[in-house]
Amino acid sequence: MPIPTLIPIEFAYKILDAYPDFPSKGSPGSPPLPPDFRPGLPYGAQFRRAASYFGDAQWIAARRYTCQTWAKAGLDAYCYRFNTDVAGLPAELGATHFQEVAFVFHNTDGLGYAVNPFQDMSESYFDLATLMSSSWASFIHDLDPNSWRARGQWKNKRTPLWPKYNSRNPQDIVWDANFTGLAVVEKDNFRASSISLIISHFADIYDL
Amino acid sequence: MSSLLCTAFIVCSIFASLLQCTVIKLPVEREPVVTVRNGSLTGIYSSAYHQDFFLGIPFAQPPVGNLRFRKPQSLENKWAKPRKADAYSASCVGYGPNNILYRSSSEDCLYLNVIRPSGYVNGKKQLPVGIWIHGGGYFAGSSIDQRFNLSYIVQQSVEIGKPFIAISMNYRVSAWGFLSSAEVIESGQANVGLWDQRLALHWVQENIAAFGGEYIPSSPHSAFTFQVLTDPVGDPKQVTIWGESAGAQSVGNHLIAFGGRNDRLFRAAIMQSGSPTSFTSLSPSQDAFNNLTDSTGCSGALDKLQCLREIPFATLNQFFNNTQPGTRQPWAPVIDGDFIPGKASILLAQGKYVPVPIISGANSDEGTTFSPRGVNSTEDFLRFLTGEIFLH
Repeated sequence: MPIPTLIPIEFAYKILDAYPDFPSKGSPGSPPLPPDFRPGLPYGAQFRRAASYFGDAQWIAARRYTCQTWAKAGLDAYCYRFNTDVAGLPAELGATHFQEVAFVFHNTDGLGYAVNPFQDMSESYFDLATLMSSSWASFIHDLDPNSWRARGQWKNKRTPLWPKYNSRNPQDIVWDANFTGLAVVEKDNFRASSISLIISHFADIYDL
Repeated sequence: MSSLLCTAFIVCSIFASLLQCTVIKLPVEREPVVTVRNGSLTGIYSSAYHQDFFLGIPFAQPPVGNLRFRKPQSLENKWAKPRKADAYSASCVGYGPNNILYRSSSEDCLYLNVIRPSGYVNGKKQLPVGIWIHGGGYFAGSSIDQRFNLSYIVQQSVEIGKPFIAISMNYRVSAWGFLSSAEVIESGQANVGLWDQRLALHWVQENIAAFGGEYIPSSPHSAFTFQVLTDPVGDPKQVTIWGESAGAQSVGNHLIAFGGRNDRLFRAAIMQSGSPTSFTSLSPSQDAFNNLTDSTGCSGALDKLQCLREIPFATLNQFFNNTQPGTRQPWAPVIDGDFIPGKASILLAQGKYVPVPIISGANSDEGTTFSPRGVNSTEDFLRFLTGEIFLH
């Protein structure tokens, strides 16, 4: 079925309230974009507002709901937010869909990309690829994305361990090549009420 | 294709009760061979990565002719001679800019690839397995996409002492894999692209333990020579399914499949920007199906699906290509009362999913890829939300 899923007008007004027109709160946020920045063509002055909603409606609310579901059942869920801008994309797109793939695959050669996502990037980008791909391999090997670090192979002491998602204190890890530790642990409560609104209508509005 | 590998041998001679061994170095031809249920496969050795590639392995009968728009059928034939597994297959038929770059595409596309660390010596004979399911909105993408080259992460896994065998598969996309309508659901042939993935998961269960064993070099020291570089095998009990976007949603679909029935096909799951409840509504695309049958002269047929099976490939291909405007394309998984027994959000709430550890993530600005362009005002935004045109 077509996406983005179209929603009835009464519910759309609730979305307008849940996603107000504050560019700095939109997507991409600030930083990296200036707080009052309104994209020009082809995006449009309220693009950051719309992108914030469509990102939540299609991916981010589903991610949070999955993590919540797993944690509530006492199952292990390691949740993340990838927050690194790559080479070859306009700033208006921010850390957009698919861009974590090159890091997970440790594809620092940029194989298959028109522009290598790592082109002209600092060493921290390459380190982030090592960190993420190692965490993935570790999870596949041991069901624990942190276990590879037990052997002291990762020298950056500022990199936090990746916590399990917890119902009482929900946290995700943020992958960001601009942090000295390349990652930080954050409370997973950004846009809490807006995302809850979407989650509570997965079945009846979004047909999911 | 084979490569020369200069490797170490231990030559042992048993003399009375005395075991004598000496290490010597010899250049040897390395051509990895494994024997799966359907016969032997000859892969290629990559000296650059010290990995063995087994590419383009068939895991189903080609879904062509009368098998089009049907669930994939297991391979029945055995091949007598070793089959070359040294090149990627064609991609499945998909649409959009990425697919145009692929070397070839075909309805005959149900193949998978195995990337194995070679001769891994660490006391580990059985390696965990990661199975990559590509994304592409269910209308594009393929395991042959270079961005999904698995060698780098496998190499990284070896370097950190967490080696795994990586696998990627093709599955049918667009209408070829996700044709949907009341008629399709009624016939039991909905979501065949997910069934393709599922059959590949079963193939791994049946065959991955056969990927290994000793490789025997052509050596003059026949009787008393053996190879120390034992190749690892995959452990079917240690499988992680892993995907991005539509591939991650596919992983989510395997988690809720059959109401969470645990077929023991995997023990963990990774979902990058995709979840059981991501992005596509789970209702069939009846209008798109009706357009298809109208335009192909199949709308009056008693068995519309059979009629479509008999339409030439080029005709259908052109129709699908012309009626799939990017992410608004109509073909995606639907509730079929079987593989997807109900709404994903409700299944999750009811605990009807396979309870395995997961990685689940999304990117900060997912929506900048998917938001419509030209959102200049609240009215514009409202119009994109509802699909309705508002007059000022």
